Amino acid sequence: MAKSLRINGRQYEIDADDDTPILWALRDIVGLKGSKFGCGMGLCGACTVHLDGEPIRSCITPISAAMGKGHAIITIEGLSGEGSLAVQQAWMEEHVPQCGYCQAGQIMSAAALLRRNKKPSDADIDEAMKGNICRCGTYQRIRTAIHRAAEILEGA
Amino acid sequence: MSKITKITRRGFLKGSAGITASSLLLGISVPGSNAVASETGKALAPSAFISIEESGIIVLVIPHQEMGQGSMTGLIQILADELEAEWKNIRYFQAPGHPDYGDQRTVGSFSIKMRYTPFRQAGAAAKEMLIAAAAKIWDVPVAELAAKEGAVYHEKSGKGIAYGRLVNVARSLPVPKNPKLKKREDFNYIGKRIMSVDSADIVQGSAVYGMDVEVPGMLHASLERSPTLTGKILSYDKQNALAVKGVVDVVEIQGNGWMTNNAVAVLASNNWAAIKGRKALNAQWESESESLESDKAYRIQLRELADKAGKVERSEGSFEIARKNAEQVISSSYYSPYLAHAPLEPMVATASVNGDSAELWVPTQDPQFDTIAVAGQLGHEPEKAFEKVKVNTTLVGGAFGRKGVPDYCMEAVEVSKAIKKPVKVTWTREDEIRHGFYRPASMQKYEAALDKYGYPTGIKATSVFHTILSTYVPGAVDPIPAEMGMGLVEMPYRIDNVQIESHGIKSDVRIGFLRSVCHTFHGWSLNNFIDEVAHAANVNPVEFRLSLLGPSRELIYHNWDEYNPAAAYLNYPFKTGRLSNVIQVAAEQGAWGQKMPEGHALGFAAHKSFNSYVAMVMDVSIDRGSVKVHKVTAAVDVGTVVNPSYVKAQVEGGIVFGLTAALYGSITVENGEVQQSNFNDYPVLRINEMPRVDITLIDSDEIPTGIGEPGVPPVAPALCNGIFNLTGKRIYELPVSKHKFI
Repeated sequence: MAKSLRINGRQYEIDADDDTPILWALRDIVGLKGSKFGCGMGLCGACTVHLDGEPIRSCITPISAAMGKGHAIITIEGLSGEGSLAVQQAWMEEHVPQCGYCQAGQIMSAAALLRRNKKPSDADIDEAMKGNICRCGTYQRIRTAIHRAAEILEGA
Repeated sequence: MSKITKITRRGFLKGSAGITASSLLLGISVPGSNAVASETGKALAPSAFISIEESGIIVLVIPHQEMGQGSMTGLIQILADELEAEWKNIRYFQAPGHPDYGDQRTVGSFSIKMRYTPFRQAGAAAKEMLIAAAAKIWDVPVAELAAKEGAVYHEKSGKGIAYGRLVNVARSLPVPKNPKLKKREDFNYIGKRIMSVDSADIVQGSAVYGMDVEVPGMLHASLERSPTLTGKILSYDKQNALAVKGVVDVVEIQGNGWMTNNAVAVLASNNWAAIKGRKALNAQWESESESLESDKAYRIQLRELADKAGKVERSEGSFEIARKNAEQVISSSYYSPYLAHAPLEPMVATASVNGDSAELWVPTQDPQFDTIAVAGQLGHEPEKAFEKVKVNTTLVGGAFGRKGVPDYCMEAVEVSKAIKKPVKVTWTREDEIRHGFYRPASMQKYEAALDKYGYPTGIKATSVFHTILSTYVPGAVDPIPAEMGMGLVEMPYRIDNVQIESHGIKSDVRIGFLRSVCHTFHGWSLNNFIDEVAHAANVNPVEFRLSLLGPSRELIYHNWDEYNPAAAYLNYPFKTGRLSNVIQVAAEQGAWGQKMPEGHALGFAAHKSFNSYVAMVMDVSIDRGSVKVHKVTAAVDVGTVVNPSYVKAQVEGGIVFGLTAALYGSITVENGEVQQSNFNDYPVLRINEMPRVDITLIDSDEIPTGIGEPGVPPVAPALCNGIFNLTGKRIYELPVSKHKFI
């Protein structure tokens, strides 16, 4: 039986088992490949998307948790609003990405952080971002870029 | 700086930005390349690095891979600078594997180093042809013309003409053999902080990695591999796997007993179904008849070998006599474990086999090696490889040396062959950790003979590990000079009696290149031992290093150039003055010798690797029994800096990579099976552990050298020397997290 998922403001009918992680439904069924596979255990954050506004690890969250009315998934491809744009702009200004593979997940976590905390401290950033691994080691620039995004938003 | 566009394969062939009959195709001959100067309108198989369209669009063909090190952007900066290209008119194309591009390996921190001069020449030659064309059109002397931002100008008359309008005339002109290169003060892209060309796509989630490849009609595969290198399948439940929704087939594939394991592949319409089907296999493997490597016994074997006379790699004077006459002898042994790469994009390969030919789409560090390996599988000699196999390259989601071996390509080809369909083989994290090509476990034993002033009169080092040559030559065991050279045989200190020896030791897991290679363990152990000797001599370790280095000298060890031809090794002597300089700058910037707050201490290390020089001061403390790193101050000499932002990024990343390895990195083996599996038992540094990093780049006119790797080797020793200064405890075995601190 097809299941209904709302992703980036569009409705998708998906023919997959209930236990299919949102990540693989997005990547291999819907065809949105911006969210990345890194560990499959919710340990690295590369797969982070927003479910009903909250950042979740889509590699361990089954589609059953997002099916039906009232649920909405936002992925990196669907990020919008000034807060998200500020994060993306800051990421570019501060030259954050190296290989870039983890950065969609990093940006999803950072956007969620800035939505609930307009002026995060380094400690707030570390707390909110420690679930997102960057094997290239861009952490220092991620901190700087989140401060920069907060600045952009303050000026907006 | 505006965003510039990457051309995909399809766009390159079909789009208006592709090389067309009207384009000026400059195949400047570069060292190590078969490309020759050519003027051809046929560009389906591009054989050059620069193509200028009549529209003014400039297509740059980049032969190396982007895996986060920034060299795609750096190489474009180099080409564009001499060409006087306008940034917004540049398009770039990531080349597939082909001999026309010269050595395409993205390894050894050498993309920028190898291409710097040839690419400047290529850009300058194109520019001179365009200027000559303008001179012809306007009938004015070349000397009165100058190129700037994609156009040629005649100052006297105030005339200007865009590059695109010169293409037709320029095509008929000869390619200059010795174009004049710009002066450093005239650079407009080299040395500038320019955003990497793929950043905009990355932040929008539209960059295409190997993981994101989609080929029409392809299936997804997950492979259950033998846990040991040559294990055989005993049983599996095919029907149970086929019962999983989405699973369409189950096939056995044979490993080659060396690079690839025996495996059972589960094919499905999506990767999750393939993973789920694979679990349903309940695969059982035959236990090996003879007992394989186990961690504890292997460590004992390493230690025993380090105590025995080995193969002599360097010998000057007589260490034995120095030891006999010594006032004091110090001896220590250092153990480093196996390490896995854990790039955040696990191994993945998409292959489509058609009869005796194949096409692949892969994140790779070596598309030429992949091509030859796959061609071999399909029964072709290397000479035929590039006719029969095409390896397309994607953005690489991290690699660190792992994606320089073709095992994952070969597996995908085996599966595609078996099912006669295109297939994407995606590795899980567990697959990546358990089936790696590991940084070898190793032991170094050092002895120093000191005179009555505490100055070393002799040093002996014995290094024991399984050679990385075994990646290429099955059965190879003994370290080769290239490996022993890295950070050990090339030891730059002025000591009269030097003896350096090696031993091989076979391992039952695969050995491979991991970021900074043998510099990681040689750089760690040597820097630690020098620190020990300094303390024994009661001399400040920074002063001690500077006095051991003495006046600036140029050292050349002819022992590894043959393995690394692209390094043009003879052009890169070890300039000890550059090492002394970064030591002094780091010590000053890091306030070495300052009084530290209660519970803090500084550690110091300095190392040359891949022709670049790095020194570090590290501020450490112990926080609830765990080591905490607060600040790292680094001085870095990479010669000419092509893009300061990304040179620093590599050092920042190198520090994270080095701290991950030093604090946590440990792959252990029991009966030939790797024990770790994911980031829970193979942890990597997270943002809450990230120290403040402060980097000083040395201003230099020297040729640019690598930076992908040189940031790593000083990290572990600076950390361990800091721990010693704080606690009095020497770390002789990594990782640090295995040690208890109060």
